[in-house]
Amino acid sequence: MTLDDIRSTLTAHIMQHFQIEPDDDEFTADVHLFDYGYIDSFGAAELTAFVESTFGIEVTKKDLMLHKMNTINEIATFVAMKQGER
Amino acid sequence: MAKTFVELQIDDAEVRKQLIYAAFFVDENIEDIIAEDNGLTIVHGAAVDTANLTEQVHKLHRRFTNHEYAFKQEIYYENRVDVPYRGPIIQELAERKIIKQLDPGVYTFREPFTTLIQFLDDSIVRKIASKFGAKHEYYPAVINGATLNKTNHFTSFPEHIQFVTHLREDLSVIEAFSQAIKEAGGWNEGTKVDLNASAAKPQYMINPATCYHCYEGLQDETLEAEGTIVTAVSKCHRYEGGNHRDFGRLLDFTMREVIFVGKPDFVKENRLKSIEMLKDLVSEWELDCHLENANDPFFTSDYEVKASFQRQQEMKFEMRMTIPYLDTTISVSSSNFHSNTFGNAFNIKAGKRPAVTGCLAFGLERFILAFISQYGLDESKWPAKFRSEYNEWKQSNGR
Repeated sequence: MTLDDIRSTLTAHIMQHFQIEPDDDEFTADVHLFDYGYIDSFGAAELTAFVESTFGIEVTKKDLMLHKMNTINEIATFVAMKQGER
Repeated sequence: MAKTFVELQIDDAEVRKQLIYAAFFVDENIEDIIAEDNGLTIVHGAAVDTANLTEQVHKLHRRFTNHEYAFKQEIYYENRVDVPYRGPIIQELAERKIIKQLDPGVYTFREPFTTLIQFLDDSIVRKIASKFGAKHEYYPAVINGATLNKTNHFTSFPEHIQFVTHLREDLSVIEAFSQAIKEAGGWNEGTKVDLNASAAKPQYMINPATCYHCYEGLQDETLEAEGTIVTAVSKCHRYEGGNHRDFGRLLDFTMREVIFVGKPDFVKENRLKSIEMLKDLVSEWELDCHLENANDPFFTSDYEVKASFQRQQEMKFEMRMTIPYLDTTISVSSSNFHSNTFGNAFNIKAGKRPAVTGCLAFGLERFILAFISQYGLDESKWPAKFRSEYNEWKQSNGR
């Protein structure tokens, strides 16, 4: 899976699951998902579960502390890195 | 009174503090918890299943220590002052009949404490809330269970909740209750009242946080422009069991809040401005304190996820004032960012999207207790700026 594929999958899921309007021009791959009110702490737990099941990786608590995963681009980069470790 | 020693490895002072806090909720017969080098000594009544007690404390210990990585702990600002007073202020206040403890965590306050509280509240409004043009609101002391449910309070802080109920609308129940009270010679230990049968399911709880009513008031609204800023003061209640023995940990207290609701940039920028104003206030008044990142004491099995997320995203800061005679600090104010949690829960829109929210909250009684623990009751020892503002305020308010 390429970085673009991961980014597209994440974007589609977040837009559908967190009910983001298609014409929301503030929603980009670089927007801070938590600061900008797209996802809260409960949503973060759900998104983590989605990432694990969809991309077949484990997101440890240490990962959450060490890697910035606030934007779609940051999450996609993290997923690609974890997949590369396998 | 019996004692049970629970052997535990507790290296981190913050973990020890949170573990002792939570352990008071393991059993209602716990009287005291003493930290030892290699564990906790728990003082309790005889009616305690000690095996279960030990197991439950170990379970809590795992909750607070099962981290693969340490929680983010950072001090963002310090205002260090060599303060003039180190006396046991609670004892002095009680001896001078300025405060009277009615029950653990429940006090009546007299002069000059009461004037100090009102001065502080007015100062927060003038120095912070008014600078934002905040709209004043006024809230009930109770909150509907359905509203509290939307805030996730029932799942995040169930141990704090104080339920409000009333006798069922049934004449026989009301008369039986009255008769039982008469027969017992009043409401006392011997009163035989079956509240399960005679009291209604609680519809209301005593409000645990001022800002919840603000979000409830904005339910189903779309905010104008970038958002709104509100300020309110109200009584709040949090049941904290044996922890009410701690300095300043009141069951019934007064919370002043400045609340930001709106678009993300509006809330984030104003939240940061409010923190700067808070720093100015503590600096002007020469308060010995620091600002650090924090997490709420989530009383749930997903403590680790919620607490680490809150700290990592810098969603909560606490201003902690030193209590010199106890060599400790207490939180007197907190700054919080909730992302879209309340905007979603109460369907508050800012533009097309759910509003985000944040707030700056002050525990008024705690703030004044901490102030006089650093400066005492002799006004001549108080910081010059605080003293002059206080005396001006008293004059202009006829106090």
